[in-house]
Amino acid sequence: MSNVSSSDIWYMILIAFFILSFILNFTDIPQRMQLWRFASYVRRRLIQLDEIENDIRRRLVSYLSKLNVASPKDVIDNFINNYFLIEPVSIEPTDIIRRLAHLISVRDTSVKEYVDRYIPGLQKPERHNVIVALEIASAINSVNKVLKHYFKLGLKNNNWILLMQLALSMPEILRIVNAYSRALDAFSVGTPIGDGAGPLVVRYLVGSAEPKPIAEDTVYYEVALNNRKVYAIKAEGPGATVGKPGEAVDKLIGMLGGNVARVITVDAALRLESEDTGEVAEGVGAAIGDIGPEKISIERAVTKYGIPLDAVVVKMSIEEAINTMTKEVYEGVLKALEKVKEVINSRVKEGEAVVVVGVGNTVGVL
Amino acid sequence: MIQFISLDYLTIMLIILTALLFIFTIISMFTQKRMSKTATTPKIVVKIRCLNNDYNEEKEFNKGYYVGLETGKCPKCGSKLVVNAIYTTGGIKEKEIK
Repeated sequence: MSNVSSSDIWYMILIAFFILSFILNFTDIPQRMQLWRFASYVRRRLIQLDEIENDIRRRLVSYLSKLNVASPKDVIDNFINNYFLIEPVSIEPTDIIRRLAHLISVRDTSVKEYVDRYIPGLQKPERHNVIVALEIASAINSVNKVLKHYFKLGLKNNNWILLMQLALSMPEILRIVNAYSRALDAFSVGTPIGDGAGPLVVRYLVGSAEPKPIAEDTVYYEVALNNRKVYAIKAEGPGATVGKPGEAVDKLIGMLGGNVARVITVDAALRLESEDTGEVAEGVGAAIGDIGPEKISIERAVTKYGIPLDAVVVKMSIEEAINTMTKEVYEGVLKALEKVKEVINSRVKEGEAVVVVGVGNTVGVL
Repeated sequence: MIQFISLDYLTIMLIILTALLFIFTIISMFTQKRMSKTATTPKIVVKIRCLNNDYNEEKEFNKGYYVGLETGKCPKCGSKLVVNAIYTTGGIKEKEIK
């Protein structure tokens, strides 16, 4: 040690620094190291995802077995591997909504026929719950397959950016998948979920009034509120369905000859991280998380007759929206009910008619 | 003697740098905002109410209950008892640790 001078050590450090700098700047070694790190991280998360999917299947098999399904595993596998929907051509937008609505309707009918074929004799609410449970398993399977596809693609092409994107997105994806996994419990026992905020507001608004069918899986009620006529629309409960609120609004406004003072839509809305669950907000427009056909039906119907369209939303997270309703969301529902009554009393004159639409999944709500 | 002192300075500098790096790591570990999840078993509450609003009761959830279900007669006025609300209390809550 005594032979090594201070300047020698500095030279060695300098040389090491230059070698390190060369490796970092002019070789792929850092990227390969990152690729290895991200791949290892994503692989661990994919194993977790596999466990979640297997758990979902086990619980679904148990649920279907209780409904006396002979081979529940085959029913699940057959459903998961089929029933995809190809979106209509969008470069020619003419009648795209009509084509999309038609395709959605065809798929819905096929799914209902599939469930009826393999699980005959189910009551309507239970059939809806089974369909949603199968859709949950199918959604998780799709997510798992897509993630594995990109993971393998990233490894195959040494695409460390793709793997990095996957690694950074995995916690959020797993959070949502876990929420879906827990949602299976809510649908298999039929408890109201957060997304049912809209239908629950309608339920409280109409009291014990009798429902009348207006569209597929959709009903409306007629009640009086402080000398105003209230027509309230919701999906037909207590099974897990969202119904066709857009078609119902269109038909109802047509039936009333456009003599409607306002249309108020009530729905659950995803909250921002800075917002609290159960917050209620009011705005303008159709509060509906539909991919197109139902929302545009509402917009077209109100635009045709120049009817003002209001939106009342109850804020919640994605987990709260698809799982059993929490106390905070329930309190939000009561606030939204008061808000709807306030809008009716302040903006609808006595003797006028108003349409209230409770948008969302009505599982666990009659 | 001069060489020994120079070497010592270098060692001291490396030790200081290592210590600073260690302190920085520890500080960043404890100042980082983390989300911790406190999990409790969620309890599903079923609120049953008389249509005349003169009687309330709470029950534990059983499969088959839904909002709007008639569960019997009111012990006070004899009108219908209806499930008025079903919701969970407790469950997983996120809280931020600074």
